Amino acid sequence: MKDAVNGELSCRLEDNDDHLYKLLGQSSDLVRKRLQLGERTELAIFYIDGLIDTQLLHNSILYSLQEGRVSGLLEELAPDGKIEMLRKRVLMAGDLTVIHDYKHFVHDLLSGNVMLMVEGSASALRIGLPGWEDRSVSEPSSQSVVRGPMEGFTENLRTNTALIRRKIKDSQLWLETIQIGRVTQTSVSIMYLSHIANEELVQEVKRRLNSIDTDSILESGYIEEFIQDTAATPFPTIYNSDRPDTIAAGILEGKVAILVDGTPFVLLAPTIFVSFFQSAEDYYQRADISTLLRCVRFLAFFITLFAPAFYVAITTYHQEMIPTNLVISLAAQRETVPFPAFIEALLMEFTYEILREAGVRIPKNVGQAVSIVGTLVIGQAAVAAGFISSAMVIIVSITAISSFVIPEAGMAIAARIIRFALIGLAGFMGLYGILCGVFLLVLHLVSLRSFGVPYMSPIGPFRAADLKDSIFRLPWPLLKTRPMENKTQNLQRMNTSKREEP
Amino acid sequence: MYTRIRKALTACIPLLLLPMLLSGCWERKELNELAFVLALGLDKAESGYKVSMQVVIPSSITSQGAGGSGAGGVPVVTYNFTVPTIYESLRKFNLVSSRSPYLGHIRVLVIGEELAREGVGETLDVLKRSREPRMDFYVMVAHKTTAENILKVLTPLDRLPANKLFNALDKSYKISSKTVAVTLDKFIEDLLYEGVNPVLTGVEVQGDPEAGGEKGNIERTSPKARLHYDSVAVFKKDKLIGWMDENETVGYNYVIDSVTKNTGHIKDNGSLVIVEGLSSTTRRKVKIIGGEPHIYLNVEAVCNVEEVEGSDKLDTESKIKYLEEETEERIVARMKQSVENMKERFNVDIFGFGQSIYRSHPRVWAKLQEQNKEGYLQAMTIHYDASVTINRIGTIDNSFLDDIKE
Repeated sequence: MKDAVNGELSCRLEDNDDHLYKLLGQSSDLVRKRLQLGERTELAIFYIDGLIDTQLLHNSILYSLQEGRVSGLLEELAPDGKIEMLRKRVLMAGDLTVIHDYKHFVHDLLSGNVMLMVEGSASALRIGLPGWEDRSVSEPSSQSVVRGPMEGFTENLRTNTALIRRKIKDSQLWLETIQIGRVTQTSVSIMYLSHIANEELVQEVKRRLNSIDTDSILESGYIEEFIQDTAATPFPTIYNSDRPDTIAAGILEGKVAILVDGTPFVLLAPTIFVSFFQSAEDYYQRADISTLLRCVRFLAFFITLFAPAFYVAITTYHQEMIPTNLVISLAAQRETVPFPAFIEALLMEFTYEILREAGVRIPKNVGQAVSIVGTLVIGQAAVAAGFISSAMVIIVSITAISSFVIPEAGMAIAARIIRFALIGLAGFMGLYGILCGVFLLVLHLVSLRSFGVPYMSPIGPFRAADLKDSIFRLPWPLLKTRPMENKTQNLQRMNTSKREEP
Repeated sequence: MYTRIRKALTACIPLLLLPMLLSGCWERKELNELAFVLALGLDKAESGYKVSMQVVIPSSITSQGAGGSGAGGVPVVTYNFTVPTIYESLRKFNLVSSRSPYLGHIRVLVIGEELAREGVGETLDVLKRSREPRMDFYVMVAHKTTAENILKVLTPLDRLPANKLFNALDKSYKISSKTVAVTLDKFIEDLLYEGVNPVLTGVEVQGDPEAGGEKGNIERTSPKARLHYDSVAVFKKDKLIGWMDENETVGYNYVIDSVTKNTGHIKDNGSLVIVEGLSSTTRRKVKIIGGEPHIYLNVEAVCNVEEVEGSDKLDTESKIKYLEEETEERIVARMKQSVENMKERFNVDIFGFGQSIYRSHPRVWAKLQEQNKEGYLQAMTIHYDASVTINRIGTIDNSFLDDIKE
């Protein structure tokens, strides 16, 4: 069978037809049309129903072929000449290419092209007429903003590259596409600014992409796991977003975008820790509030990591640290609770995780009922029944809410995993345990790299100049240079000569 | 071979970490297994001590308590133990209670007068040595009564009597300077340092302490028993030797530079002008003149006029100047009175003059110790000075009394 795919096309229409029919396992969506033009020209058209624009096929291709003059034009020509003639003078619509081998023939057929063959010629004419049902450009679902563009990537690769090109109209914005996945043959594109992005970085991205050997790529998550520096970390080392503006901004900083056909989530490499705490909106609103919001996000990250662990540690080991009035009130709440604070925390955190996971999967029309049960069970009944203390409910709630403050879901997920480890350490060794955990966590974070860039820069290797757009966001006129960690060819973002005073 | 050994060693490293786990859960205590001792009382018993512990009942404090008793019951329970040593009481605690005592939240330590007169040095060792209590709770002496009686009394506004004692001392110290707020750390420091002796505020029960222990005490508009700070105990090292009254305490606070707010009145043409000090700093200098140490005290105070009883007119600058001078005199008089009384009655240096000399001129101090160990306070010359600025005189210049007459 493999040979059959690799072979050359045959001169006889009949053979090609049979071969193809067998190759595709007599799939019912393969459409085979035979046309007889005049006395001496026999044509065949193949396409996969649903992948092409049938309307256009009928109105443009078939209509042109049926015109009276066409059979006259083709009458006297050799079969290969007929194809040339069709390509040059008859068919106007679509992207036309002549192909000769089976491999490309089948691939193009399955990618949404119409294949036209002429009796007696061993080549086929590919007419690009892709047209399938697509989701239109709509608001991005994951990283919504109040101010800023409201368009998001779609599942269509071409739409996505166009969305980026519409933001960066520069000849240096280069696009390269390869097919990955032996079975799925998914198109994966990389986009970068050739005069800014580091050449070695681009080569490295290409090298890693080319070394992927798998049968299928269904989402950019596959690519992410294949090309990331290490899998032994809960932290994401490649950024993903479905916002064209975020990706365009990354490209402008000298990063490489990796677009995968079939998913709105575009990857951006390399990436650093602080970029997960930056929202696109930071750059659209005033610098002062952006800086404040970034601080809030870092704070929320620490809360979502440490709140339950800290509560467990100080209520079971360090009671003297709590103000007297609070400790009495906490003791009163715990009066009837049968479990140790550690078990209580685990119980509540797991309940929350269950509710959250259920919330993703529950059909929309039942969702409300379940969420009411969830809030009542967690919030009220459990406390009233003396099952858990109400302080614990507060801790779990603030933890849960804080985790949604982090703009990128990947980082919030990392925090979720680490939180459980920290609760364990806190229940076991108190604040000392948490400190041990933090110690290991920091060691781990500074050891991470994303495409050679230290993950914790500009804090890990400290670079004062790059702090301007990390924890802080200085006003745009002050952001004169691009971040240094990407080793861009051109650091200057704007003219550094003095601005004219009005 | 080499790599094999290295591999084996690498495998052993996690094993080295394992013993760390053995220390896990050490000293783990759940909140509902603890009895929070908020106030500790120490009294003299025939042999050893009588230890009283005021323990909070958490469920009766918060309205949310799931215990069911709600905010109705008594907020605290007091346990008394007659024991040979104080530590013994912590071990005896569980004979009468289901929870183990936790000293991390002591707010006040009350020492009975009788015990204080005998000396408290050895007694306090256990509190300093134990790692549970924080050293920032206040220490006080039960005046004319026992610590046990003090800890019995229930208080209405602050439902926790220990909290009331703590906050009342804190506030009265800052607002009136008529008490001294001394933490255990400070008390022990003063015990240890040369040339200074500690003082502690005295607390007494007004009314019947037995009635104060009943729930009815907090259900009356005028409780049968109240806790009241009245005077300050003077110690000679760890032994109580007498009491200072309010005025002496204010003078004492001026001398040791711990006055935040204090009120005094000045007579002027038959009307009383009440001046309140808002912030005051006392600078202390030691000068050696002819081999003898001289102490210079200089008070700088910012004051407001708060009240004028009479038809005094405050609208001229000379009047304000006059008031300032009068206030200065008054502050000086207070300090003087306090120091003189101490010399006369107890001959105890509670002001830390000796320590100031020791710090600035250690040799002079050594000489002083040799020559006149007991009586150096008597021989010392102290110079008083005060400068007062009156900032505000309130929202009216002159009293409205004149307008009424017209």
